[in-house]
Amino acid sequence: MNQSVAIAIGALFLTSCLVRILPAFVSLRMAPESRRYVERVLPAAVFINFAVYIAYSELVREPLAAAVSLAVVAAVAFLNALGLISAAALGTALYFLLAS
Amino acid sequence: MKSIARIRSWGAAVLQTGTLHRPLYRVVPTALAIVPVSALFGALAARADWSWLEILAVGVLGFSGSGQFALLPLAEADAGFFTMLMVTASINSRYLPIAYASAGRLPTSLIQRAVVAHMLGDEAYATEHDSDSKRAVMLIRGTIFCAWVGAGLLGAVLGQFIPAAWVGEGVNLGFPASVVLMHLSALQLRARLWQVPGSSRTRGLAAAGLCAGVSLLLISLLGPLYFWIPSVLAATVILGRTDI
Repeated sequence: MNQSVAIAIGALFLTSCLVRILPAFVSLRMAPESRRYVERVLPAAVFINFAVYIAYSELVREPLAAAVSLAVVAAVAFLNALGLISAAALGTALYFLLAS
Repeated sequence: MKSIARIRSWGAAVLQTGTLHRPLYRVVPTALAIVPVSALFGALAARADWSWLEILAVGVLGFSGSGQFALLPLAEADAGFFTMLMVTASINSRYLPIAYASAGRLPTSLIQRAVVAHMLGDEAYATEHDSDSKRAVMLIRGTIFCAWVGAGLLGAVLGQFIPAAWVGEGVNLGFPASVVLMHLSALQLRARLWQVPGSSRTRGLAAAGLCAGVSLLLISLLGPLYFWIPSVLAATVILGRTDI
């Protein structure tokens, strides 16, 4: 195995140990208010950041196509109008149509 | 052989209950959406002279979309271990809160817990529900993980036959995965902010809008690598003051 590739794999695995495996073994005693934060507030905060990050990273590449496509997909999901496969197909088709 | 038999019995245990068809139905489109992204990584890595074993190893041990793409040029430039660790830790720091918040869904056995925790990804977290059983979570994460690793190898094979322009910067093969993640995030936010009994929808949406604004501000100030932790913390504080 190439040494620099082995180092890259080692860095990724150690990162996974630090940010994914280790927190799974940390248990804290929490008051009800803290539990509300961890179980309800924190996940919502993460999903808002997912949405903003996706929109930002795609808008940088193709502003109009990404904006229209992601807005339609988010609206469809929020209205619960289509399933995941149909929404993904619609969003992807819109993007490549507008980007071409 | 013993470990293969153990994995087979684990897989059989995961699938033996009939209640797993719903999570399987949920996860398959997501797993399919990440295939082009991982295949693209495999093709680029093969072009950078990574062997199939190296591509398999980085998928299994690394399992990080953006982290793997970021390390391709760094490995070619012979960057040091701590440089690579800093880059991957920055990119993947968002998993810290996610891993902690979803730890209650993991199996209790030490090895299974560590393996399923390692298979955590954005798509898996967005696909999982709070009500999912431990087996459902194992199925969701395992399916996405296997799709990612398998597609990386597939990309390495196909990359030898596909013209270089097809896997270049011009074609955004990652967009379907972005669409899927946006759809899943919107569904999760709908359930967590819009459909909460006894809470004000207007206040929830206003708080979410404020969080999005703060997030954009932090991206522009800190960049898309380093905004995650402060932005998630800020959003947690803002949302914590509403009735969700």
